[in-house]
Amino acid sequence: MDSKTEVSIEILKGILLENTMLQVDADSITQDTILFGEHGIGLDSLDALQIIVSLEKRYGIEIKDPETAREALESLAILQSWLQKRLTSA
Amino acid sequence: MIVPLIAASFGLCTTALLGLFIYRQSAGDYRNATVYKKLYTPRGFLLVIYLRQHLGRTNSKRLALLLGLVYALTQFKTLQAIRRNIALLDPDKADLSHAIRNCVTQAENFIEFAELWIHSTSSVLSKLGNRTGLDQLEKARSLGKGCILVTGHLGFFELGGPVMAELGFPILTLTLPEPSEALTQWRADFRMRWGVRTAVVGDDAFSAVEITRELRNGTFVALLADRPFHSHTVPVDVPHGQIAFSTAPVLLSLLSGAPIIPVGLIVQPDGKHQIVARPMIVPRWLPEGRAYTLQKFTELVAAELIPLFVAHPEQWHHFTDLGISLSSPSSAL
Repeated sequence: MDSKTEVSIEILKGILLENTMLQVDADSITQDTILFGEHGIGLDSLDALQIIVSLEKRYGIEIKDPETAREALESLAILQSWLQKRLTSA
Repeated sequence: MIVPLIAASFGLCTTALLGLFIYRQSAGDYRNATVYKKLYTPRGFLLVIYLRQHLGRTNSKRLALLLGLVYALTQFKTLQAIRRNIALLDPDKADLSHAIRNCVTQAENFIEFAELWIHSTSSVLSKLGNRTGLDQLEKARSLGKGCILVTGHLGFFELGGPVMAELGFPILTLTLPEPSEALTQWRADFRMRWGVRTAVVGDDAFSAVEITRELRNGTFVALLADRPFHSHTVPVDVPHGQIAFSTAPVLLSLLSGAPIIPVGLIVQPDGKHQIVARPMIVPRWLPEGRAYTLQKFTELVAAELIPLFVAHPEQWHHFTDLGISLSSPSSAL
């Protein structure tokens, strides 16, 4: 797999850490940690935007509406699965 | 003759008492003052509108002058913060006179707010004075997407939305939540009189994604960049220091493909409002990476707006310190 299309939890966590101002310990984030919303880790709308911009830049996949963003960015595991589906169908 | 004298005496006494009250109630940050919490509400705005309706424009302006003076002279810490902010732009203008003038122009903005309320929506364009660079807006529209209008807390910036709407641009204003939901809603309803919609950033983690969709569909989105939301900022140079500038405009642009136009509204000596649109900026990914891209294009946006702040420090309204230490790391990158 091309390193540019590789979708691992480690890579996605790296994108998360690089693009957001986390209010929790990075080690506490697992693949199933809820990222946004009431039960999330305190990320805000610009954190979401930064992650989406980075995903678009790395994988060339656009997230154009809030419903898709809400679905794809629920947790790292869900994001991994969501990206893999789109990369294989591209 | 006697009636204006009584009215003036009443105004002076009320203002002095209000000033004393503000002085006694405030503890450092002006937002902690009880009077601020009581007046920065829908009722406070309605009171200003009521006064404007009953006092007329000239007397309302006089009252604003008086209130601005009292506020300035009773809020020592705030006045010092204003002076430090002005010193970032031009140390020669960081004197009491400019700082007090800054408080007065802010008070006058509330009267302008009331002016907007009591006049017909179609009269908005008559408030404009000199217009510079408006061709940039048409140029942006011709690109087929919306546009990100970036400004600062300069002049009566609230006029920008109604003006854009009257010029025929679909406009969405981004704001932070006000101190109360009631005020957020009241101000949104106020803008809606001109068809200016409001999106409250921070209500929903994915609201910014919705904004990029609006931009792709041709909406013009207006936001303030010089008092940024949380820590999504980069440091930018002002003539005598650095301030934090929001990276949100560049992020929105990179994601939507919509260009950025820095704009400013400045009150002219004749009371009309000069509108200035600076040349369009089209961010693109730079080979040096994401952080560098955000920094460089945010610097370009700031470089277009900062000369407007420098030229009109008495209209650059920030009542808390903006200067950042040169040793501070860039928190957003």
